[in-house]
Amino acid sequence: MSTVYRRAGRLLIGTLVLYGLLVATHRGEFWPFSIYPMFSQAGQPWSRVIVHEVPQAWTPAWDTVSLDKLHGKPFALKQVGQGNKDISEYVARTKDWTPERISGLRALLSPASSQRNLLVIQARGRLSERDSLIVEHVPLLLLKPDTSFVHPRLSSPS
Amino acid sequence: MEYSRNDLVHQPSQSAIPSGRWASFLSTVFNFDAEETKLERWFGKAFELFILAVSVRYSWFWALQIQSFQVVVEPVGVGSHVDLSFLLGSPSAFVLAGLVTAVIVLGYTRRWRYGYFAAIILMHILFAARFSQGKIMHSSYLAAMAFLGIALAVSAFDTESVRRRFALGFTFLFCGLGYTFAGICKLVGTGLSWPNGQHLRMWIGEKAVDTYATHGAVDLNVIQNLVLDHYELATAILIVGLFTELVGFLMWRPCFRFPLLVGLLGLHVGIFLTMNIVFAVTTLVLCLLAIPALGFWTGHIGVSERLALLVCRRDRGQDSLGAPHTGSRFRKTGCASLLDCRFPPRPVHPMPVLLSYSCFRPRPSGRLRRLLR
Repeated sequence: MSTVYRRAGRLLIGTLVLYGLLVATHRGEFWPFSIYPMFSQAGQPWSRVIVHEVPQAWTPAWDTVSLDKLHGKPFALKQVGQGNKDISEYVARTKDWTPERISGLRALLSPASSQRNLLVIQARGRLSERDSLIVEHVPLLLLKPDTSFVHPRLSSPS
Repeated sequence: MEYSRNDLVHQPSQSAIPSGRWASFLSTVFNFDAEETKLERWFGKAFELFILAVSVRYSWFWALQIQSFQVVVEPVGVGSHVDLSFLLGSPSAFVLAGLVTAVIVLGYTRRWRYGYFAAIILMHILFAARFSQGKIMHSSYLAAMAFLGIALAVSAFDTESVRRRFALGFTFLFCGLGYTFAGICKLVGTGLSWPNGQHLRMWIGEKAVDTYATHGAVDLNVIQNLVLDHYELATAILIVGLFTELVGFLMWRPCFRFPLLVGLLGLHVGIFLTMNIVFAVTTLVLCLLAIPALGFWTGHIGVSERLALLVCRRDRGQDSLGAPHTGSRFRKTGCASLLDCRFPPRPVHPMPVLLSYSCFRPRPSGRLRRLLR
């Protein structure tokens, strides 16, 4: 085999070995190597965040409702240059809403979070027993320019 | 064999054609022996430029997005070992992006052989900081693997034609492997029930919420409404998509590249129509890869050869390929060589040799030249 092919073969094997080692030790993701697990967990419940703008005088209501009963009007996240995925993951992975975590969420929604009253709602989707899609909307946080309110069942800011 | 740092075509010796299964595999993937045409050379340069431009764009875009983050939610990559929170909300990210641009320029001008490797490492740090919020987006992976192939080619080989062949073969191989991994993950993660149409309906609902959150309103298109109303259609779409991914590994063989690329482009069109997810850069890379892949087919099926043969065919009881009516010979030059997938069909009439060569088909290898004598 010529030198060129031998070298190419070694590079290929080396890349594959490195690929395997890195994805095996980093939960399947080590850019640019990946096992591409997108959409692999089918049929599982999902959660996403939507944001509504509510009036200044609005009293926080934390009931789980359907989309048509949500308070306020939709706030498009493209206005703050954010995609929904980052904010949804941030909210989903936050167990304790400490002042630091609330500040991080405000940073993601800035500058609107310091100018408007934003209601952060978590949309939770799941399949019912009759295989139809059910989506419930749970208000989680109310971010006012000068203060924040958290759902009573989550940790409150100190 | 001699190599030069100048842009000379690699000239293999007759004994360079590899033997053995591993060598045969490498020959099929990389095809170093075929002479490079002028348009292949220009395609290779354009492809490299495109990948570099995309990489620079990603670097600056990630640096910009990092500015709005304050907290590392879920460390990824090198972020699992090194605290990258110093990059969040800091202009340091732009310094990194500037360094990426600089080393890419050094690599492209061939002033620093390992410039591309340095760029990949710096981009990885930016990636780890950008996607530290818990959700990883995979739009950059295909272009990144192509970039890695180019980086390996520039650092390991001296001849530009060999570098281009290696980079292209590497990209095809890992493109196909990536999609196959994705298909396997789906079967491992969910099992054989993955193509259940209800799953697609759930994802459509999920993406509809994403669209509502991002734009403030959502309107389902015709395809989405059809999928929601017809369970069988949803299941069929998922089955076709899963099959297309699982057979992606066949892209190592040139004869399968173009059909697979068409299938994968269809997969991404389907993903866009059903779930509003756009893999813009991935789609562009696939479209670019279709150019040399199509070039193999126009040469392999011998479109121009067949035309030349039809024009120049003598009335000697020959079939449309110009071969005499001996079935075994036709099978050898037609279907068998098609399945062989490595060399064009053996033309019988000399005219095709003179008239046929399409833009991206390599000139006949030494083996074919011997057959034609």
